[in-house]
Amino acid sequence: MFRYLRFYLTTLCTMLITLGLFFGEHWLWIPGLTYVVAIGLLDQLLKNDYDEKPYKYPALLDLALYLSLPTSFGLFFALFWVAGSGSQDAFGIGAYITSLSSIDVISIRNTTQWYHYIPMFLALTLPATGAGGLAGHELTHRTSRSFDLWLGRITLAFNWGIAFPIEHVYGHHTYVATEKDPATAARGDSLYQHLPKAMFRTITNAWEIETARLDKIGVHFLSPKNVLLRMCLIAVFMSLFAYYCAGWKGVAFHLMICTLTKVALEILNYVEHYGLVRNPNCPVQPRHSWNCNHVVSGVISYNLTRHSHHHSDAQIHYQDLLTHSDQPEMPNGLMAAYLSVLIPPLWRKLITPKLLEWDRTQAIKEEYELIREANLNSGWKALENSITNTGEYSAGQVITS
Amino acid sequence: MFKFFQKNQYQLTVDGYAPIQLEHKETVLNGALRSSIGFPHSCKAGGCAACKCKLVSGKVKELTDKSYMLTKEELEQNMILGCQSIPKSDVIIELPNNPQQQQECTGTIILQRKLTADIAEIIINIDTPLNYLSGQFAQISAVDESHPERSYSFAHASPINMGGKPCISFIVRAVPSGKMSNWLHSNEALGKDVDIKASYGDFYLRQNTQPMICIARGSGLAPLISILEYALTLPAQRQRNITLLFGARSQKDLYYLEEIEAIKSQWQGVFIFKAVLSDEDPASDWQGCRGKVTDFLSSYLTNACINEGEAYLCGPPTMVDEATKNLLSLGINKNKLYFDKFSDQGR
Repeated sequence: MFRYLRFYLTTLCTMLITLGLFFGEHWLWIPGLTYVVAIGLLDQLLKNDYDEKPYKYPALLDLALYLSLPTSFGLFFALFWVAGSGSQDAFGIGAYITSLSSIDVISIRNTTQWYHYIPMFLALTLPATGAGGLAGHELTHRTSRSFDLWLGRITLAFNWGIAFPIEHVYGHHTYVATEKDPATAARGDSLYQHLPKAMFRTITNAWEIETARLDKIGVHFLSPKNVLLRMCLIAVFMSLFAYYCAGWKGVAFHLMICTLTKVALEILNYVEHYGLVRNPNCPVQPRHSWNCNHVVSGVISYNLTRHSHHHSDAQIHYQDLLTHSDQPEMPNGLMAAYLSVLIPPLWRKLITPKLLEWDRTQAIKEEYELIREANLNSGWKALENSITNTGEYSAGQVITS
Repeated sequence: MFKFFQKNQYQLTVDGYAPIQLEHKETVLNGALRSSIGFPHSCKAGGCAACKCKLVSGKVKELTDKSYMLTKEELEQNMILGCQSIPKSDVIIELPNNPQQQQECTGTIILQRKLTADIAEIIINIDTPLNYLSGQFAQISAVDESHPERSYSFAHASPINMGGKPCISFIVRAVPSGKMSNWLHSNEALGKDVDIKASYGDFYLRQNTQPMICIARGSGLAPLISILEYALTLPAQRQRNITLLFGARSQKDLYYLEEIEAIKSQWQGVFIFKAVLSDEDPASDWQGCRGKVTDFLSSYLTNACINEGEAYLCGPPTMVDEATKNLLSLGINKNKLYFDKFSDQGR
């Protein structure tokens, strides 16, 4: 039973964090911050998860994903309510909570100091990304199930994530670990060098993919068949809803959290594929992603951490992903790696030996030339020790007598 | 009256195959696979386009948006995704030419590794990589000789490395009066170029969790080694329970025993390996099985394997036919029998 319930953890925590928002001041950020720190710490303390037993009731696991839409909507609504001032109280929710708890939440909100908002946005970034982005990601991969696809795209559109569902499925998955992929960071690129490039190219790529498709089916760009426009309408609706709840301040809050979730998803991509190299003519293999089998990171990200299998077969539902424990592993679990990349010198220290190991044990000879080039362009001196520079052969290959 | 109920059952015709009566709401791909048509496919979810095919006539309901996956030309040619198309009328489908079968390259024989008196592993350096499924075969001909073209199975799951050169290898038995096979064994072939056409055959690993029995005789071991090496790289596959029976004439005709032991030591499911000798000197020190490899099926076939397992057979026709007959009489499902029957004569 717990095997199923654990995938409801993200939803449950997001709901608690959402509830906290109504109580103002430090409750705006303590729950969110606790959530992030707890994941990082528990990852280190608990044993890794190598569970590959099949699940008998996939519908229960689908439900965990479907709940992300109302959860995500609830989080946004609470945030818009926080942005409100004076007597603003959309749908009378503040008065209702006051009547239940006899705490005057509206006046606490109105007297909450501005400096609580800064940690609030930072602490809400990951929960909002989890509820919206990660569940939405899983659902938008299910292209043959129209309900799932529809739900996933709406969930992402709440976050103004309108390029992601198109670019990710039809761009990133096709081009991963090659130069054409906006999300694969080049060796040597710090997070802050990579982010602007990646975010810009994700949008332009999505645009190109969708216009090419519309051109193929002979439909004008301004057509209801344009998926980008349809999702854009949902995103506009969400911003209008923010305006309804809290005026321009609500819209500003919405755009702020949307920007942060975009950044958060790109950081995730940065961690998942940093510096990996593939010959564009060879199929995507498990080794073209950094894998992670830390249990808490896996559970809260709907097994996105089993990234090696996800990329080698993107149609597999999250519960059926294999652990691929022989595949390249990111340093210290997803959450710890995620936080490490924010400090570029630390990340460089952690990832350099991992890259050298990848070159030595995972890369195949056809990739050596590309790796040498990537190492040279990185400007990282330590990468000169790569096996690709020594002329020895990969340990992964069979040598017969 | 029954016609009313049969209304939604349409007929599917793929290339030159006999028409298939589809089940209610069955996709083109599933109907074809149910009828053992080698319809190319991979993800079955509309995400890879491996099953793309041409809708020559009829109507289908499409489950997913194919316009992301197919090119404009393909859309104009009325291509569809087989796995995402449910016929709404009788349909005729044409499969595209299989690019897997259109690979050609030239390689150089750099080593003839003698394995037994009449079997050698022929190692060929190739410049362009070849795509193949483990278990498939290639057609080989000599560039400067007029010997007939012959088919040999790839002996390993991935290219091997010989002094920095990417190589493929084939296990070849020198057949009496076989011009090509004897040339491949001969000193004059060393350093010579061969033309290779690839990759053919539907003998490849079916990925599921059921137990499997593999039976090889002589040089028929090659595709099975390739399949097992490949299975070893897949976490779910290396956990399957497997029995490998290897038939040969005598102890000196056995080969690749170390390689099999190496696979066995990394295998995570139960791995039973038995060599069966048909012509071993009765007075010899051989402690193992004696007789025909096909006589040992009942001894090593578990009930689980009979009920739901798969059989992979490769060897000369007499062995494959006899093994097939014995396996069927033991009760194994005939849809789960896969074989590569080679003609040993004239090779």
